[in-house]
Amino acid sequence: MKGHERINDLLVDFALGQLSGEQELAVKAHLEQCQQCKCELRRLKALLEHTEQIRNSSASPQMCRSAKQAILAAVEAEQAEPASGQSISLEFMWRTIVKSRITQLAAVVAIVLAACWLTVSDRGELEQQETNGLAVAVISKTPAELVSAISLSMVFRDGDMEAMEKQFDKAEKKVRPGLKERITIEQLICELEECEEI
Amino acid sequence: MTKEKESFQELINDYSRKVLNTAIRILGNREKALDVHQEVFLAIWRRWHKYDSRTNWNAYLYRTTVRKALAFAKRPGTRTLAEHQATYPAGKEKPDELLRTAELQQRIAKCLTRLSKRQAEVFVMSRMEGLKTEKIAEILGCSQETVRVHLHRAIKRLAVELSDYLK
Repeated sequence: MKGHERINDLLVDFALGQLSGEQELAVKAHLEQCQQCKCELRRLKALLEHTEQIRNSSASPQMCRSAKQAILAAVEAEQAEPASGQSISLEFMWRTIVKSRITQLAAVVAIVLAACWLTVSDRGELEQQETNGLAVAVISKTPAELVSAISLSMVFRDGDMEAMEKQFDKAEKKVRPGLKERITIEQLICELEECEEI
Repeated sequence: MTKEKESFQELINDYSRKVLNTAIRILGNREKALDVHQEVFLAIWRRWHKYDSRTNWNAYLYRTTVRKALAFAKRPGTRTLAEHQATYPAGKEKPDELLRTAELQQRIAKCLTRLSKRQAEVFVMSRMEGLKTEKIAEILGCSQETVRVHLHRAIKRLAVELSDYLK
């Protein structure tokens, strides 16, 4: 059996004519007494013969010419497309930007920022607004409410996250005394993004 | 004509025939081979700016064409006798023999899609394209021994899978 497996492993190379003289003789001797290997060799040879036949098929010069023409025509067509494609994509981009909630958020932030710098000068009043903003953020349900509340809160601390979070805790207690789970600004923004996806 | 387009046209002139031949040999169908040719070169054109003078086009096109043709072979659809006769007009076989050969070729293509990508590539390059082991190793960037192992496995597996057709 061990001899059979060893010879069986050599059958592909035998069919390909890649064995040494000694190995070839051993395979031939085995084939005389092993019907299984004989059948396998017949299949291997049929497969190799067929694939060699396939090798003879090739494209005619006319086919090559038409293939070249077709690809060059396709390239021409692709080159002609970008002008209209570009305007479509610009239009699409503009529509996407205008409709995006992120853009709306940025717009609200910008408006609130401008309004604050122009109208609010009293720090006490400002802090009150900030706390209110956070409070609204905690209880707000719609994206629009979230946008205005977060933007109000974010504006007044100039990116001071630690101080902002303290204020946030304060606002949480004020609005929802029973609220145990801490909501972070990041979570709120994630929520906003989820709303946008919907 | 732009410089880019000129060099692309040069590439087509140099390799168009090779790509078509490989696709025909795998698929046995001229129409599909033309589709493969179109898709391969269009894909290259779309990424033209990414290639440079170091690109080994021979290796790249061989591998891309084999993979693309095998992707086509996966798609459903049977080849008719007329299509096969159109592909092999010089054959002297009788219609039933031709049909059997056509079926076998189609089966080989399908079976090739079930081999590993490397095995299929090696089988196509060695048996259908007649490339030498050394050349295949260079194209695939592996050793000649690896090529031999892949070829051995591919032939064995194809012979088993096609046993009904190879009596």
